[in-house]
Amino acid sequence: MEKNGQNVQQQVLERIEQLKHLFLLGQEILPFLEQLFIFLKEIAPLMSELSRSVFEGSLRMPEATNEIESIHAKTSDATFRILARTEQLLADLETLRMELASGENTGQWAEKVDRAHEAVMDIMTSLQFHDIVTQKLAAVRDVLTRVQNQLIELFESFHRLEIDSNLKRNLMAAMGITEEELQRLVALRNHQPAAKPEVSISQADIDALFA
Amino acid sequence: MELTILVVDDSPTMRRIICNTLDRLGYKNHVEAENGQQAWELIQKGGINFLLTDWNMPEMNGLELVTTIRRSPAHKDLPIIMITTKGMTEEVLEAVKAGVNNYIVKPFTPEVLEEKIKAVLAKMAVAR
Repeated sequence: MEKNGQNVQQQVLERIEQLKHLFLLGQEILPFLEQLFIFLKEIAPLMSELSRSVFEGSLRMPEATNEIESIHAKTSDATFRILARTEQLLADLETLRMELASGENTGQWAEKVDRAHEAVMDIMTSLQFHDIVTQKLAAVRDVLTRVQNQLIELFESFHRLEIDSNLKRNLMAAMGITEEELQRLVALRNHQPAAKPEVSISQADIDALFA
Repeated sequence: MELTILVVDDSPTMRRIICNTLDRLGYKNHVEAENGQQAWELIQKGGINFLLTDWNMPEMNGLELVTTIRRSPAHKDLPIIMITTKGMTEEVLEAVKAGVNNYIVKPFTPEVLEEKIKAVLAKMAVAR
């Protein structure tokens, strides 16, 4: 009887000990759970911001791709045009040189000189590609800047989360970015001009405006 | 009266191309400026009676230059053609609103430049 009483007492004490451990564990885990709840509460809008940034970034990337394709096309066109005109110019000059050397006059000198003049003008006109490419590259830079700025905003939002700084630091590290890098990116962003998307018009439509 | 054309572009390559094209077209009197501010100073000195300007430039851009000219009682009637890579609908409308007389999207050919200069001069003559 007495032995039974001791067993029950022992069991009760063990239960109390277990409860005490559970209570201590609860005390330890409570701040973590609290941080986890804050994190979950704040990460939800951030996740939607992330999808928006990725979505808008994806929309803008074709703009940059189109500009780069346009640069490639304009550079190629100008280069081929200049090459073709240069080859023609060289051939005409060679014919003229030979005719002058042999004293022969086929009566086409004036025509050849005119053609050479035209070729030189065409080569000069084609050199406009230099300025056009510069401006197209500026447009590509603007698109990339806009995408970069959105990502920086995203990182900044993450950085503003009111969660434990260790947890935040670990999460930032998991994303592969340190606080110093974030500050550097923000400083870079603050020195860049903003840009806006646009719709193109043909020279014929422009002419119609002035008709 | 012989035309004195002011060519405004921050790209030295473009200024050379435009000036050489003008020579070829028979417009031998031209001066150059590399931004809107420099151009405005030249215009104020007098003697300029036609303007070819780029849009994207430092200091004062082409659009600001056009606006400044149109607001000036002494120079508001100066014929202006904008030559630019900006070929977006909104941009052209913005330039028209600012007061350009014509608009050319780069790259241009000597024929296009000649046609626009003649068209603007013809309109100015009719207006007088």
